[in-house]
Amino acid sequence: MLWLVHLFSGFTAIGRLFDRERSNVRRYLQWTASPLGLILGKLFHAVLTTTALTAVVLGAFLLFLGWPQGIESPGKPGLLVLGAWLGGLSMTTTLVFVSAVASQVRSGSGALAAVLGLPLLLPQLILATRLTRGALADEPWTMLVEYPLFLGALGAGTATIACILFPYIWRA
Amino acid sequence: MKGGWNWFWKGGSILLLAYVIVRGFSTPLQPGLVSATPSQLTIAGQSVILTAVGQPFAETEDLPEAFEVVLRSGDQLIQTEVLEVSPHSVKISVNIPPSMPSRALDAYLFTPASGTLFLGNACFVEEAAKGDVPPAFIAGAPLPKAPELGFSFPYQPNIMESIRNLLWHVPMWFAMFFIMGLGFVASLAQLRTDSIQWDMRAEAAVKTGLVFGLLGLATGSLWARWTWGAWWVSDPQLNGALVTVLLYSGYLILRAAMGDDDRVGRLAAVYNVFAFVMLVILLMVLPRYTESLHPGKDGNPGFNSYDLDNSLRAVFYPAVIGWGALCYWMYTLRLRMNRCTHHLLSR
Repeated sequence: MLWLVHLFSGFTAIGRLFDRERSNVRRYLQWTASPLGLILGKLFHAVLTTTALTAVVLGAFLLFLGWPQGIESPGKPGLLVLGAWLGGLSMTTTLVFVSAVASQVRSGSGALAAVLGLPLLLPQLILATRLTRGALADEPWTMLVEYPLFLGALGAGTATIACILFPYIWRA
Repeated sequence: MKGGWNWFWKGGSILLLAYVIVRGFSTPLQPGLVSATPSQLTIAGQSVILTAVGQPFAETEDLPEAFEVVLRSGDQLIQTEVLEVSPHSVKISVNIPPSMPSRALDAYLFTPASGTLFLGNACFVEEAAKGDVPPAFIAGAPLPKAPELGFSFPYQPNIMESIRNLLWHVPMWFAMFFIMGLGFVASLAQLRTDSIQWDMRAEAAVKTGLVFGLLGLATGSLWARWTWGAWWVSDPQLNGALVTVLLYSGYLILRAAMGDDDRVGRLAAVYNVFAFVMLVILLMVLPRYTESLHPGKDGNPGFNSYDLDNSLRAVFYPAVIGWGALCYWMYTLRLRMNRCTHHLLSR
């Protein structure tokens, strides 16, 4: 089970790196775009990245480690994929917002994004690991159904807030 | 007129808090049974000592005949003989009947002054005890009399004397929610007007709120050590609280990193709005729907008539108002400092 946690932390590290560099490049490239369009584009980009990353990480996980030892029951593979995807999604949307804020700071924006983003990722990481652990251990649906809902709601919520607030950051 | 009102609410908050501190620490706790020694009943006619905490349930000169201890196993009641009574304990002698529905025995202690005290799973019967001992059943327990306990805090198993922490821990978080909400409104106004006045309000609110958040974490940690046995447990409510405090620390880090950049006000306001939304989600929404040890979450109400009796309410509500007013007072001081700094720097 702990492997998943490690994989997830690596996963977020990749996501963060990716987004930070991209946001700086894009900021200068799309100088004339409308703020709402820009943030929507960034979020869409984050969704695509997350989907690809989820596929790669889960594929590598299953390929190299196989289905975890000591678990006889097949578990819930669909829920595992869904949990990994939604978890990654809510994390990357949060990171998009945080890196958007941090990119406005002139010096040390990268370190700032990490500092601001870390506490925000904590609850999502806990929810996601809890969900994927439950999916692997084949826990009943009634115990697990709230976790994907929460992850989805968190992701959608942060995306909405980012869309509302981003024009204020961008106006400067 | 305005000066008078200021004197009223500031003085009032000090008076309320003084009342809360004196009342909160001087009010006795109602007696409650905590242990039975030995808890393993092995022989017939064994003597057991039941110990209580809180205010004494007996005077030293009280006679043992006035007290009655009944052990319950399933729906069977087992009568015991009270040998000795001291202010905080009774010594009883138990005869175990041969047939028992359950091995665990609950203890009821009937006292003339303090009513009925209860200890769940007080004693356990070992197999060897079920010998040929004459049964000693009683038909029914004596009716508990309405006790005259005076002004005292309710006894809760496991929480015991630490129930006084309710007057500190909970108002800390209420005050933090209140002042962070104020900061949220200030940040919204800042985004609308782009005025430095609102930015200074938001910053003062976040700084004050952080103090109360840290105090809330500290008092909560103390409480967790006493009731759950650990300074910190990984629980949605606790983690949410920690993340919230870290999030608002991020607000200060962001301001510090921005330095005297012109856009600091707007960026900080954006971050603050986001942080408050996360606060509501993390502390008020998430923990209610996931499993949690914390009272008031996971579907079980924290403050109902069962937990919070009238004596506790009489101190708890003043505590909430007092801490809230003190928090607002601290916020006004911080705001005045911000304004002075701004005035001096812009001159």
